[in-house]
Amino acid sequence: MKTPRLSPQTLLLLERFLSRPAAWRYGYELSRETGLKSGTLYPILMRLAEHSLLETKWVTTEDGVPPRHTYRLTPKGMELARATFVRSRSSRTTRQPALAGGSA
Amino acid sequence: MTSQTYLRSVAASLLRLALKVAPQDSFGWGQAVFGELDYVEGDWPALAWAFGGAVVLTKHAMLSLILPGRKRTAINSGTSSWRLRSCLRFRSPLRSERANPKNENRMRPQRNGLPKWRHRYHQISRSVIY
Repeated sequence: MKTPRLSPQTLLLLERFLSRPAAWRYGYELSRETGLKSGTLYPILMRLAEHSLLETKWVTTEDGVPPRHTYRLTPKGMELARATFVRSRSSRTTRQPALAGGSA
Repeated sequence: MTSQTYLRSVAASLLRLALKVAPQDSFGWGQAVFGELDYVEGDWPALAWAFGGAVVLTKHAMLSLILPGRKRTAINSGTSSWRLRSCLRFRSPLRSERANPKNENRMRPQRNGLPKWRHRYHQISRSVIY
């Protein structure tokens, strides 16, 4: 299956997931950590889930309260997120010497 | 969990309304937005939370009216206008036929240097005008 488009917001979200990869995360918790609004956050979460990069679960907390949707990275998602961050980090380190070259 | 106030009830009503018009493929995440509403701290942030979700759900609903049978991917408020434009972009029959190698013969210039379908169109339009 094709990987989704990795926008800056998606990367930010993946970074938050990678900080605690095994934990189930709530949407509001992710929104507070990333600063993304609900209208941006949920379509990204659903897109990642559609591509099997996130696993989702409904959690019932109390009676009469709507269940909460929780999210966690799948092994495939973890692999993609790690690979993306390694790639972005390596591109950053290769760019730095070129910038520093002027002062030498 | 926070107590129910007037603003919160407005937020909940807004989301419920948006869920009513939401297409099937967006309903799940609409419910997820609704499920989190009780946990948003502060009344105004709760209203903003509901409003953000409701706007995107409504956009999905409008998109499903324009493209009923089409499989839609999740869109956010930032990219929806771009995606809508790309969906509605005029697709020339010439371009789509050219993309298919089976239609190569059909696209070969014929009668007066025009491809077959264009020639036919030209004939029809001429018969209408004259």
